[in-house]
Amino acid sequence: MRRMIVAVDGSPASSSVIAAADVFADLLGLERAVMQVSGDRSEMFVDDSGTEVVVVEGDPAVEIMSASRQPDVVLTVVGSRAAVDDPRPAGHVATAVVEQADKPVLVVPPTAPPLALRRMVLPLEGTPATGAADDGILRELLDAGVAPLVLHVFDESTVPMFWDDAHTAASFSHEFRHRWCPAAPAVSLRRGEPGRRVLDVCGDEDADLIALRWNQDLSPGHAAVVRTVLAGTPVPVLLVPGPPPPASDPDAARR
Amino acid sequence: MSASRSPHPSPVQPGRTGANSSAWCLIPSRDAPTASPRARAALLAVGDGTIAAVGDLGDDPGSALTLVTGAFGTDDEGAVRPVVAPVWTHTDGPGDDAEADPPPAWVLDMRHGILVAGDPDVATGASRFVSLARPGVGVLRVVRDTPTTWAPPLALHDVRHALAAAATTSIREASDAVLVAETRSDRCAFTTAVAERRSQRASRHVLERIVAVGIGDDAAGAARAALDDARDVGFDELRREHVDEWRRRWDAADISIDGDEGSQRAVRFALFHLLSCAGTSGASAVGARGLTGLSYAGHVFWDTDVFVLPVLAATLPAAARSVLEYRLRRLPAARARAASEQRPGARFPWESADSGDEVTPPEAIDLDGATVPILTGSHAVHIGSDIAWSAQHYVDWTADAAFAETAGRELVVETARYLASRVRTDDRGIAHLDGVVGPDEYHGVVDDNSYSNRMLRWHLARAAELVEVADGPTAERFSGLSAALTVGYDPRTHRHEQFAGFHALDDVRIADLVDVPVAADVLLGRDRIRRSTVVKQPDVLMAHHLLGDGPDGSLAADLEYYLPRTAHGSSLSPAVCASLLARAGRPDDAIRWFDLAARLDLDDLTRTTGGGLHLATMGGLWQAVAWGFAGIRPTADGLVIDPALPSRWRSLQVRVSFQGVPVRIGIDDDSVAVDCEQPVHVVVEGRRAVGPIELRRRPRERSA
Repeated sequence: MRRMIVAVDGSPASSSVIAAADVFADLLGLERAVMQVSGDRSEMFVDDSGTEVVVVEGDPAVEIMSASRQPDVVLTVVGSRAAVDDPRPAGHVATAVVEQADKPVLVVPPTAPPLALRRMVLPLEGTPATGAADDGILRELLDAGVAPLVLHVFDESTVPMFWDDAHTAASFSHEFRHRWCPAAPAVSLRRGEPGRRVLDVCGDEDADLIALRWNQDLSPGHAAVVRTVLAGTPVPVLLVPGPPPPASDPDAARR
Repeated sequence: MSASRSPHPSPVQPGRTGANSSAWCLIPSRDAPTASPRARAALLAVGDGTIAAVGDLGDDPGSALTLVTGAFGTDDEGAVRPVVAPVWTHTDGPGDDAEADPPPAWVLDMRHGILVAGDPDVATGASRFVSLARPGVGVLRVVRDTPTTWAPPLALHDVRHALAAAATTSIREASDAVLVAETRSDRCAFTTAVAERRSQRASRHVLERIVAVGIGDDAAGAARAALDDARDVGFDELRREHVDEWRRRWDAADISIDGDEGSQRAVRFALFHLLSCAGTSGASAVGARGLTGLSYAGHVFWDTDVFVLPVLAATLPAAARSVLEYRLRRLPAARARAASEQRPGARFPWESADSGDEVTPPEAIDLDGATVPILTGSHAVHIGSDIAWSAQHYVDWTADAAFAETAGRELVVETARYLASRVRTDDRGIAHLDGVVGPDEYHGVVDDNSYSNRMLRWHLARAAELVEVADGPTAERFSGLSAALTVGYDPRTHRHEQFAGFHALDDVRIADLVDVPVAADVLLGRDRIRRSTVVKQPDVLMAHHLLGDGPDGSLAADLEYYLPRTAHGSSLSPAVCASLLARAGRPDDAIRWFDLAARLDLDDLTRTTGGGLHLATMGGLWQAVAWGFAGIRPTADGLVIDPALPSRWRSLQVRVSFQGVPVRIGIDDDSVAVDCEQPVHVVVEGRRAVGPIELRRRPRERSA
């Protein structure tokens, strides 16, 4: 059976992590493997469902990565940070995991409400680097009935040359959907700072999840959307490692 | 200066371009290498103004479309959208082995109007065309070389598209060789009849399929009769007569550019689609995307009247007449709308479909997520003057007196009556047009939009001439209003103010800040743009483009002021700027904008070409060449020719029909040659003459 690795630290935020993992496990038919990787490991975190929690010694990120590399593991679930008032987008363990994982990682904020997975915001740049949002775990979520709220945000680097009127928006949205996410019923378009707009749409549409395909580089000057979203999200964020852009990316000149 | 007469001073032959014959072919891998499969489908659409076949090229089954002119339905939200016909072009079936035998790439043979893959006359391949000789009839031939059975079924595929209105398609007749289907929506009904013939010699299988679409009262009878006639004629003869018709159209319309094969091919590509989308009988308008896609809902905008009609008036007058007939048949609806506002005359809709009622969406969600009203439907009243201008422009090219004295007069006068009723005259006797949306939609509703007012000033003056004998008081009133209407002209600066209060806005030269074209409203937000002098597209300049009647020096002054402030966020903008810069004696500045317009769909610069080609941009491209670089205008004095060629073009040859006489105009650095078989009055660089003639050009410095 396919498994997910659920990493907790024993803090109160661990409950949110477990709750989110449960929903994914049910929806995708995954078996949970819960590991406590930090915190006071002498006091084992108690999972209400009775699932065995394995206490792991050693560097938390290393241990999580080691477990998640097992071939039957398809998803890793971590908390973004232990404290609600922590200003970082994600703690160092979560950061290390999302940057190194070669499989999807679900990052759960400390205050995430109980997850009812009905709608997910699916921001797409519309480039080969970020997909094609209809493969892998994203495809599974779509097939499981999670409604995609596909979102494309124009920022300074992607603003189009031409924008005639409301018909252009409908036409652009339609062509964008055909090219990048045919499974979605529609594509919403926004302008501005992409990370902020993703969070706005998440709130406006009462979404339960934000799913982002990214290139796993959180160094300065990179992954601004992921940073902003992780810092501000009230709901879990699914980070899916994306393929590198091909050399012949026709959209590269516009970015 | 010298002048000499010659019966054939500069022979211009179709296909003789100075470039090689590949300028007659569009090869997607070479000419549109970044096009998505859906964009490629639009680029390779074939049509005849009545129907068009789009897609079904083997790389994106979802792109297959058969579009029918004037076929609309109402969607669930009350919007009027196109209804699509069943797809007749699928030929996949048992015996196909795409991996073992990948299909050859499609090439658009623009000279003959045929889409070809491989060489179906000799070996494996396919060809497809929609007959110009028999509007509403499409034909395909597929040849496979396979030792096994190849038996694609004869079928009409009823397809659903998100941008099309719902309709039901019912099979009315079915046999091994013929299928007849009726498609019906709440607003239209048409019939599609298809037949095929198969043959096999050894391993060579040949499938020939013919489709006929019937529209109107006896759609089924018309479709079946057209199908039977076409079957009797057979594939080879259908192709011959189709090619002959294309030869006639190219004889009348071709443009040859020597020294620039890319521009040559792009201009031919534009002409090909403009001539493919134009019906030549009855009432037929060319929607924003023609019959090449479903975007813009098949609606008819001012694009049709001022961007598409001019090229048709000059090269295929019957098609221009059909566009005007489309407007004429909707005059009752336009009168009813004016009456509903308690006004005289006729008010045409900003967006028009089948009935002539306003079909502009009332609101939309903007890019900030807010629901905003769309103001063009309620306030873009310049459409009335645009239509009047197009009627006069048609008369200028054709000298169609019967139209001018009846239907044309009615269009001009009725639209003038409506607009005159909206004019307010102030205490100083200055007339104003308040509360309108001009071409620059960034600034919403404004007073005294210069484009609207300059067009209306011309419009009222022309209407006054047309009613003078029959209705002196009305003529006097029109004349008075025309003279009193402010157009925002400042004789000190020689510039027009785009609307009342424009010069009080934050002055932003957008071209100094970012690369243009840019959708400035997307970049900076609607509110910020509205408070600035950034304009979406030529507005003041658009009046220069159409009327050319500004005070001396105003074109140069307005170009100098407005170009740096223009974002070119409209796909209509680049071609207009190219035309104006050429007219202003700056052809090498113009060529940059010409190139943008030329590549707009080939490079899918809007990322929306998959929804159809930008026909108005293509019409603008013709205007940039004919009005701009060649400097051709029909006038009462004759055909004005005042060229300004860009450096990279060695010569330019343009074909038009002036007052019923085919005219071929050859231009190079040294001479202008006018070739025609009947005498034609011309004004070449200010000199009156009668063609055929060849004139030495006046010395002129090339622009930097």
